[in-house]
Order: sequence, then C-alpha cells, then structure tokens
Amino acid sequence: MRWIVLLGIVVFVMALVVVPVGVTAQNSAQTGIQVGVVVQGADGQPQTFCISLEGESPNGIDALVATGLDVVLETGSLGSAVCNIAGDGCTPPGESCFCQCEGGEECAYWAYFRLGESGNWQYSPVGASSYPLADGAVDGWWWRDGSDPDTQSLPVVPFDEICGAQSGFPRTVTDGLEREVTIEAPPQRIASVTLGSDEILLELVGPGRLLGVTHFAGDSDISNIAEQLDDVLRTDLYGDPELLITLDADLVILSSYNNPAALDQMLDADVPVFALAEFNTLDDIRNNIRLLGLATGEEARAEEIVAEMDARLDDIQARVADQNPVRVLYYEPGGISYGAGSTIDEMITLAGGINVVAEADLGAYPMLDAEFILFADPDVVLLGGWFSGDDDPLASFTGDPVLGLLRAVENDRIYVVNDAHMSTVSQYIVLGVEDIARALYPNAFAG
Amino acid sequence: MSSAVISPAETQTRSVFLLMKVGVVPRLVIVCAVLAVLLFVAMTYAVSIGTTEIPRPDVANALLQYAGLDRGVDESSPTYMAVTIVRLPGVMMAALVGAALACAGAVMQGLFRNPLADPGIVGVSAGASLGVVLAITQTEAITDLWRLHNGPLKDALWRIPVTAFVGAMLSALTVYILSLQRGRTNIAALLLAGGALNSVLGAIISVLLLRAGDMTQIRTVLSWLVGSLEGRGWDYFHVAKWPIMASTVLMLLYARDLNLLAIGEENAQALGVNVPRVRLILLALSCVMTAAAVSFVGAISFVGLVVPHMLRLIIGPDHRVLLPASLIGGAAFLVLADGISRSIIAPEKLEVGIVTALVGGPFFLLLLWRNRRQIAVF
Repeated sequence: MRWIVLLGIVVFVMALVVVPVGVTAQNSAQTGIQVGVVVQGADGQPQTFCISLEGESPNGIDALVATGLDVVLETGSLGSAVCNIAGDGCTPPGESCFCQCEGGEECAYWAYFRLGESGNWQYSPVGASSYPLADGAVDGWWWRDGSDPDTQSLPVVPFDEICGAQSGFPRTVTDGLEREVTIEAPPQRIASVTLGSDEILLELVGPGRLLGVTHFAGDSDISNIAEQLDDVLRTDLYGDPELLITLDADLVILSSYNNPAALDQMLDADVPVFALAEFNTLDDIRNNIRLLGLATGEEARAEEIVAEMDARLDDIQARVADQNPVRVLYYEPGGISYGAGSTIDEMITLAGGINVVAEADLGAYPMLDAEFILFADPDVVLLGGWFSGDDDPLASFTGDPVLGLLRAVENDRIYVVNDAHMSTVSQYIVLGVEDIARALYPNAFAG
Repeated sequence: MSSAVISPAETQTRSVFLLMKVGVVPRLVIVCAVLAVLLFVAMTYAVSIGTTEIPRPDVANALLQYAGLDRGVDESSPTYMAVTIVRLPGVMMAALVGAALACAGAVMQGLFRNPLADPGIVGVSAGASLGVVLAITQTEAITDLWRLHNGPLKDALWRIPVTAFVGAMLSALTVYILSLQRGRTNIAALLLAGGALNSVLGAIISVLLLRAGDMTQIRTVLSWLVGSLEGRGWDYFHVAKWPIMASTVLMLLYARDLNLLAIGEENAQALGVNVPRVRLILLALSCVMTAAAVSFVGAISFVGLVVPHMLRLIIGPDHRVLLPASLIGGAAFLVLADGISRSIIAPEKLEVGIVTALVGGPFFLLLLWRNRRQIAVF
C-alpha cells in the first residue's frame, strides 16, 4: 500500500519540479549611436529628426528609414537609391527612381548631404547605403530642383540643436527609492501610475508623451487635470503588473503606495520602473518634480514649474504677512484631522494660519473627538474629505449638536475646501495653500 | 492487512459513498485521474484570464515556449513576459497553496477526529497574521520593500513571509506546549488553547490595525488577511514549494496510521501505532505546511475545511485515498477560485480568499444539505 502512495507522491513531486526553475532575462547590452537627420521636401520646409540607431555600422538609409517618414527605395548593385520621401519624388516600379531627371541636365531628385566638420553641408558622392554613420553625424536629404532658381537651400542645423533635448542620455537617475535607474533615451511612452505623477507629467511633458495616466486622473473630486485628458491615450492605469508589462511603456512611474509585490515581477520583465517615495512636504513635491524632469529629459521645464510654484507661494505669503495669525481646525468627517508632519499642516502654516491640532501636538494623523474641538475653539474651520461621500459636509458639521456650538460656526467662519487642491502631491498644491489663505484672510485677497 | 480494519469508517457508518465498493487502489487511481483532469482544466482556465486581453493562442504558445518547445515566440515581448512572469507563477502558487491547505486540513480533521478542524485551528493562521501585521505596521517593511536595489532577488521581499512563518510556528508551539499533559498532548486542551489563542491574537491584530495611521498599510494588511495571490512571482513559488512538498511526502506515509487513529486512540495503540509520536509528527507537518502556505499568500480560508469534506462525501474517509485526492482537489479548487477572482469583476481583482469563501461556502452548504444523513464521518 505504501508503495502505491509513494508512487503517487513521486508523480506529484515531479509535476512540481518539472516546472522550469526561473526565467532568464533576455537583456543583451546594446550600444547605439545617435544621429540627426534633416529632410527638406518640395515645399521647402525642413524637418529635423534625432535618431537613435543600433546594430552593426548603421548607414544613412537606416537613419532615414528610422525617421518614420514614408520612404521609397530602389536597391541596385551600387546600393539603395532614394526615390521618394513622404510623397515627394518618384514611385517605381511605375516610374524610374529618378523620373524627373530623364533628359535635361537640371532636374529634381533627392540629394544626399552630410554635415561636415566645417559646419557646411557637403554633397555626398557616395550613396547613403554605403556610408556608415558615426555618433553625432547629421544627414541632409534635399529635394533639390536644379531647374528652380528660387529653391530654398538646405538649412544647416547642428547636431546639438537637433538632439539637444536628448543630450545627456543614456543617463542614470536615482529615483525616490534610491534605485539607480538607467534611462536610454528621453522616454516617449510614459505610463504614470500615481495621481501625483499624472499631474506633474502632464505639465512637464504634455499629453503626447504620456501613454497613460491613472483612473483617478479623470475624477474631478480629487484630480486637478480631469479636464485636460482628451489627448492622453489611456486614462485607466493602476498598479497591476500584467497591465503594466503589456503596455510596453518606455518608463513606468510608480509610487511607494502601489502594490510592492508587483514591483518584483515588473523588474523581472525588464519594465523600466521609476519610483517616487516621499510626498509629505512641499519640498518632497519639488523634489519629485525635479526627479521626473531628470527622468524625462525635461530638467529645464521642471525648474520652471518649481519656480512658478515658488513665485505663487511668495505672493501668497507677502499678502498674509501683516495679518494677525488665525487659529484653524482642518476637519474631515468622522473627526479625521492633520497635525505636525502632515502636508495639510504645512499648507496651513504657509497660508499664515495656526493649526490647532499641531498646537496640541496630537501627531500627524489624529482622530479628534468633539471635546477636543470645543476646547481648541478655532477661529476658522476648514471642511474636507472627498472619500466620505458626504453630500453636504457643511450641514452635517453645523448640524452636529456639539460641533454646531463652535464660535467659528457662530461667526460663519467655516469653509468647505476643494479636496483636489488639498490632497494633491503635485505643483497644484499651491492652489490649496491659496484656498486656505483666502479663507483665513479674505481681506488680503480683496480687490 | 485487512481492509476492514484499515477503513473503519466505511464499516462503521454503513454510509453509501460513491465508489465505495471499489477497492482502494483502483479508487485511488480513478479519483486522482479525475481530479488531475479537473486541475488541468482549472489551470488552463486560470492562465487564460488576466487584466489584459491576450489571445488564447498567444497564451498557449507562450506557455509551450516556456516549457521548452520552440514556438517562435519573442521572449522579450510583453505578452510572453506577462504570461510567464505574472500569470503562470500566480497559478502555480495557487495550486501549491491549495494542495497544502487541503491536505493539512484533511490530516487535522483525521488527527483530532473533529470535522471542524482546519489548518487554522492550532493558531497557525492567526500567528502568521500577527507576524504580517507586525511587519507591516510596526516596521518599515513596506517602505523597505520599495527601497529595492537592482538585483534578482531582494531580501526585503522576504520580510513578510519570514515574519509570517515565524509567527505561525511560534503560535503553534505555544498551543502545543499548553496542551501537554504529562508529556502527552491532550486533544481537548489543544483545541481549546488554539481557539483561545486565535481570539487573543485576533484582538492584538485589531488593536494594531486600528492604531495604524497609514491607509496603505491597512489595505495591505487586509488584502493579506483574506488571502491574495497578487504579485506572487516565481521567487515565492520556488521557496514555498520545498517545505510543502517535503511535508506532503512525509504526511502521505502516515495515511494508514491516520485511519487507525480514526477508530479511537486505544484501538490504534493496540494495533501498533505509537499514538503520541504519530500525532506530534503529523501536527508538526501540518503546521509547517500551513505556515509555508499562508506565509506567502495570506490566510486563505475555507480550502482546508471544505475540500477534504467535499471529497470525503464522494470518496469516503480512507486517508490513503483522501490525502492524495485532497492534494490534487485542493490545488484545483484554489486555482479555479483564483481564476474566478480575476474574472468576476475584471479588469479589477477580488482577493482570492474572498472567492474561496463566497464560492466554496454555498457549494459546501448545498452538499451538506443533500447528504445530511451521511455526515457522520467520524
């Protein structure tokens, strides 16, 4: 009998062991080059492209094809000739590749130039397909019509200007979790999986480079960008590893409050993860904006956003500087409030108020009882709490048999705040500070 | 060995189990074959479901390629990665944990001769839960988990399973010591101590949760408390499989002794079973197995209780058939529950522990009601 059992066990064990042990990551080190391409068609309008190329000695044709323009080639024994770019030119086999050059001496065709070290275009005597490119080279494609005396010559655009936004890539950025993340090129398909980074990135890189934002971003109760999402491809992201792997994004922004176990699987799948960790202070927010600027190659824009934030804060503080400090209670349904160490406390302080919860030193996230609130006797009460689902927080607060007795209620100094401005961890936090300042010192903002 | 002695319950209760008249060996073969087919179907179903739409042929090709057959699938493609790094380990983990919980449940029920016994009864689940709650609320475990450095296996990933395992084993040991009576286990004392410890640990967990300030921590803990397979990758599976498989192998060797224990301690002793030793070994094995399972996926309820009972109603109480059947049946049950948990409110996921209770519960009640005359299993 035991032998039969043992047999069964062996089968079970084998079934488990046979399952392959681990996955090998397919990640060969790739070295590539970066080149600029200038294309000027029949309309005389030059287009520039910054192209990253990999593989064995890429040539001018590879770079041209990589621009994404529609290119028609004719490949012969001497290499490839370019017949048509983006609709300008000839289309074999219906016509010859140089269809406009049959007969006359002056004619129109796609002429290939290379930007020389002297900074001038040099007509390339050799076909683009037999000319290997070096890192930093600039190629020019000019639909040159020799018969047209008014033809626009090909403008000289140096490499740094074409690939300027990309300089410094690949770069290694230390993310919020102290992980060193190497980013090969400025990410063009960014998946944002936290509301804070949704708000920052939309302003930093615009909708074109955002592959998707969280489902929170469309909820105007908590999001400051709900109205700006029309051009964003997806607005339904969340921290699911399968979803984030199949997105095939070139950068995924996560935060420490997404599911941590999923991170492991995403790293196994070589998903380029960039994480933000701290969100509690305005300095954390500034830091996150700058981190995202570094990760996306938009450092300058990040500094601008931070500067705009600071200018607005300076303005608010200048307005409230001479006011007599007001004592404030920030209250959410159920008695939730915020003390020292919380973002709300910092916002109240920046708005020139005194947080009664911080005064009493109750910790960062205390639950208050009615007795404390009565004795604290704040001058102003701010009501928040989007997650409570309370339709009329003002009525429930003033209708409370105890809280309704407060001096602030009597004096009509009780305000319902815009939660999207209060709970945000992006540059929009200054809107929250301003909201509070306006509630505390209406006179400072009059006129 | 005579079959009448080894399978006492059949003769005692004169109940009519399906397959009762079939001999043990053919019964084992038939039952295991049927359950194995069920497991295969469940796994196929579960692996074809996910948060994203991946065409079934692509899933099948990715799996075949992963198994070593060249199907021309690009192994760096997102589809291949999603199937082999997210879906497959989740399904394998479900099978492993389901097998462990059901088998441990069957052993506990036989050991204590108590139909209500499940792996949680000696405080294993509660101990593991306390370990996890402590790790999450009292340390920086979650933050640390995120503070990972580039590398294949991150030690931070192991903090929660390790604290859970330590908690599980400590509480099982406490219950065991409390139940010792002149060097022998007093079963009644063991069950009572287990129940009391469950309450005490539950109270501590509630205090810690209510005092935790951070909603993220509370959500993480809750998701773990009901049991969740999300994010359980190969790393976890390859560690969890060893204690579970080792315990399983040893446990199955004691199937005959469990049958003898079922006819009473004295009788078993008279028939040559070293009752205290067998009991201690089986208890320890069940604890290790359960602790390993719940440490990785959380306190998934109902599998350990329901699967053995369901099977007993069909195939009878003979542990030589019941234990292997519970292994495969438990695996199939949890894999199926996992599939349902991921499809029922797609694209979001329900925690698998909720599905085991919601789906398993009513089904079990129906089975109980239809077979209420045959329930006298022990």
